[in-house]
Amino acid sequence: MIEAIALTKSYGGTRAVDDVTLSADRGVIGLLGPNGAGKTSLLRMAATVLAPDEGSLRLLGLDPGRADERVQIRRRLGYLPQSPGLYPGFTPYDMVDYVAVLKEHTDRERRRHEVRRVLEAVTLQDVMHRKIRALSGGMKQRVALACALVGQPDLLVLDEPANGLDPDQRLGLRSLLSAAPTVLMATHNISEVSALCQQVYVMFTGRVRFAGTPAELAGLAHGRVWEDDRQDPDAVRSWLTPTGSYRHLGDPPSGAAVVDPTLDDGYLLLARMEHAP
Amino acid sequence: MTAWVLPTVRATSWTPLAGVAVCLAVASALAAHGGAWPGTLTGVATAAVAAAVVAGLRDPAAALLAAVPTSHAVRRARRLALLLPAGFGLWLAAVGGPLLGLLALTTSGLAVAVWAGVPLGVAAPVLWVITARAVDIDWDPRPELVTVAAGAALWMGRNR
Repeated sequence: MIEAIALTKSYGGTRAVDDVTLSADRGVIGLLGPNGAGKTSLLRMAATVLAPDEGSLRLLGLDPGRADERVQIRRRLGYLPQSPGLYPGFTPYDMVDYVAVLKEHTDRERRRHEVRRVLEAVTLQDVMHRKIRALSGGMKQRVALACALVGQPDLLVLDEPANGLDPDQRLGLRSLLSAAPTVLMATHNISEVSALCQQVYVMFTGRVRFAGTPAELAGLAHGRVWEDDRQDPDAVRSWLTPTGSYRHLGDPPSGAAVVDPTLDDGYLLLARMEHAP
Repeated sequence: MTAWVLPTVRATSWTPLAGVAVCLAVASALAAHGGAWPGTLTGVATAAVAAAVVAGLRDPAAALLAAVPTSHAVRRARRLALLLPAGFGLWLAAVGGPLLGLLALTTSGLAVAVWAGVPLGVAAPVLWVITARAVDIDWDPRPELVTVAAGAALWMGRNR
């Protein structure tokens, strides 16, 4: 579905994406990393919106660099950008219907059916005839998500899809995405990754620093997480947990009560290693 | 009716053109009172209409629509198919006269918009006319040549 080899994209003198190789077939693939890590640029390339400067990219077995194949990819692609603008004077129904028109759904009756299907999938059927300007931020995000879902795409490229969603809506998003064939998703929310993703890529400063399963990312911190009732100044990271004890990340002192690492621990340790001198 | 027409009419930004229409209506009323349009205002009115047509290309949903099979170039062409007759009709109704000057300024603004973004494309016709007045030169010396050159630039940047 996605085959990226040595992708590079620069803006001026800055390499936003630097020699990134990524391969994904089916399932949900998570992209983690701090702001400015290159996730959005990588997603825009995967959505055929941005052409790489160097490297090779194939999506759904096709070459997005060729105009005819790019159109074929777009017919089978759903894209949710980080800041999806909408027309405030449209209703959710109008907005999704317009996207369906642009996605070449020419039969009016089928289009009407499809628009209702995606609006129900994101649970917006009750407000589908209300003006977008009157909707909450979470509802607007779901309108944009509905637009991405039009036509049951084979590949979904989503940049921060859970932005602005409440916990209940986040759970809805999870069941929605777990039914999609292939999803490439950037997120800051590690719990989304642990709940949804079969594969995770972690990016720092344009480069992929980790590729593997969520369990493997958590495993990076194996033997390096311990809990104590006092803060440890030698730990690379320490924080107070709800139980009242401190959770430490780093090289545990002898006799420390080592605990099983979580995905957060693995990510934080990777981030720490990235920024270590 | 083709399915794209109605949503494109609604998605197109008509406010700039409507604003210019109001200003031109007031100016026309004043001009009628005085007998005719002052020659110095014709250039400014033409630039305002050209800028308003270009401003109509602003698309708040551009990022969301960036990966649909209907390309940006086609979506822009559809908007222009609506905006150009409206802009030219407005100009004919309010100012009148040969259309070549308006065509040159509009094509130039559109060419700048596709290469450098809509805000600069909006500014280009207005800045040109203001500069021409400031340095006391004709604002539309060779409109047919400008139209051809800007049209070529527009064509070359159609997929941007």
